[in-house]
Amino acid sequence: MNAWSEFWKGLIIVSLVCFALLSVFVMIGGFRDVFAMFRRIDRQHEQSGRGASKPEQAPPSEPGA
Amino acid sequence: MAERFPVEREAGSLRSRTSGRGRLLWCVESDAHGTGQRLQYRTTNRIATNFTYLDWLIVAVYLAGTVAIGLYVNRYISGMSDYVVAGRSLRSSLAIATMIGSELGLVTVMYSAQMGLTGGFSAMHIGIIAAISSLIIGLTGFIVVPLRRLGVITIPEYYGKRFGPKVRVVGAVMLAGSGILNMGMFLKAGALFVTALTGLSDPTAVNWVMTGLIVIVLVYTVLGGMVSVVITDYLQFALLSVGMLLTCYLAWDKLGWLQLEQAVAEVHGDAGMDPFHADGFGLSYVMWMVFTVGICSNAVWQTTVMRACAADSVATVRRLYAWSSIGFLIRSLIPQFLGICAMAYIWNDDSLRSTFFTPDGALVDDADLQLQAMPIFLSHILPAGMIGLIGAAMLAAFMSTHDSYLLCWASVIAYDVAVPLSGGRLSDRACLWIARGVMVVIGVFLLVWGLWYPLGQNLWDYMAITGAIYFSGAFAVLLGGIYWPRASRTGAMLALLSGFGALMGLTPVRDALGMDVSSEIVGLSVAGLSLVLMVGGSLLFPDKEPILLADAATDDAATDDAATDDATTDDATTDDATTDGAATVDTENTEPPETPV
Repeated sequence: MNAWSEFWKGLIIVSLVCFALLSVFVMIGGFRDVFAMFRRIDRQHEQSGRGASKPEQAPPSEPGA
Repeated sequence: MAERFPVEREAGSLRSRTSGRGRLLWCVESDAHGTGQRLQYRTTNRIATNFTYLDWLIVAVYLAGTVAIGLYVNRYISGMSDYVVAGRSLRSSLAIATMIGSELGLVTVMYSAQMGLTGGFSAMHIGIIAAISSLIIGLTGFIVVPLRRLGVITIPEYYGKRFGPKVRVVGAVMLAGSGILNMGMFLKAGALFVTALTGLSDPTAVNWVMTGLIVIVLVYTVLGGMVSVVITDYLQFALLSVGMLLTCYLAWDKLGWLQLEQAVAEVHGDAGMDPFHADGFGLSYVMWMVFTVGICSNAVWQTTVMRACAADSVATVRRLYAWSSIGFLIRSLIPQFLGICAMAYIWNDDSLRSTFFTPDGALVDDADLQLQAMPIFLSHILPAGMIGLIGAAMLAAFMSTHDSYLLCWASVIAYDVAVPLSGGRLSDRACLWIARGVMVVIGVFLLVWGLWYPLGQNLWDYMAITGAIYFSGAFAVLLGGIYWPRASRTGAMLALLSGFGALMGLTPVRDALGMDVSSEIVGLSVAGLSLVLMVGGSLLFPDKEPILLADAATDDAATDDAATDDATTDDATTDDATTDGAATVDTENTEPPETPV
């Protein structure tokens, strides 16, 4: 019982610390990646000629394009 | 802080006590021999909370912002690939955030808290299994890397490539059916959380909250698809991770480890500490978790695999799984910890104790009531303002899971059922609109199911068993299809169909059939049967013209290393969403196209 209790206590503390560190890294990196994702989707649209993301530039999408 | 209700007991009658801040209903029944009394608490309506107008304001601002994001990112959607896998443009950090954000949903929080409440510290074995499995999959690329290399959007699409269109359609129907059933309780769990946290006392509040939540989720998911899902997942990850870490600190500070340990020992005994204890989960349950949480949830479940398919490279897939192992551990562990804290808090609070525990110290066997324990606990320990943040974070968690699942199942139906059945004549745009329409239909179903279905078991067990309808067969089919060249269409079809056996694990079905077998035994048996049928069917009925997908299962480290996050390789990414599920090539990974042999 005692050994299990110590194990769970240690697991909870270590997990929370790891998660806190991971959260910081992912929040910072994810913020950068969001804008990278938009840029990539825009590039893909331009390359495939399916229309840009901005409404004023977007031609009607072709079915099956 | 907790309001005390005077308890009146009268055999066989439903009694209620209303005070200035709430109402408690209970029923006292004589047992069969008239020798004692059994208390059945029907519902805990309003119990005092710290939820204030400031908290409502915080929640409202978050919800409005979420819908605005859905409307904004709609302009990035021009085809099925953008809609389903965000144009395959997720980098590592965002992929990890969205993976954790999606999998750490409110439903996960609710069922994990319930597991902590009903199982004590032993329940944490689930998170350990999930974390180790995710790490192993990240290191080995088991199943997910071959799927990413093939450039498939959905798992049934893989079935189609490997086993033909019939297996694809059957697999898609089973996947979507199982998945929709699996999320059948999401809405109710979310509504129970909101009403318990905010102290909404109207008996119809749960129904109205369910309706409101599903409408909001549908609006921004239907409009924005995967792009909006990714953005909201990221926001949810940020909000929820900060909120949950703070909540854990406050809970620990409030109760202390000794009180937690003591409460678990008094309520659950040794079984609350030892997951292998026969009076608790036991070995068979742990084995069932290894299969469901360890293997299937990570490598076979479509919503998780979808993240791998949306990653920009194989290297990202590996990093995603390896780093998400911490997230998979946390997504179980933190809510379970809060569930244990709720149990200890309630155990030591006289008024709440009489609601959640029977006089002999056992938990009241009412799933709805158990699910409300954690939010009630949070509403008692968190200060005003902080509850609003946690409420918004949890709603974010609710929506991020809901949107992912809605998107996933709707895409499967559109892409893997409608498209093959139309003979590939559906345009990309038509496919997109079918997916959106299906999403609305699923939303209506969820509302009806949430109102009607009597849960009658742990929410997690319900989810595991409904998921097993799909993943029991899918695991056998993916394993055989990717790693065993002799796997045949007949074997795959038999393995998939055997998944229906998992329905016997649902409590209402078992009650109707008079079965006295635990759900984990049913699940493990069906999983074993699927593997036997896959092997037996393939050996007895081999394909006359086998289809082999070249090198999908080959672990080419050099290729993986070559895939980077570099923007230059981004340009090389092809948008390979096809309208007919035909072979696609992901040039980024420099893999050869699959070649029929």
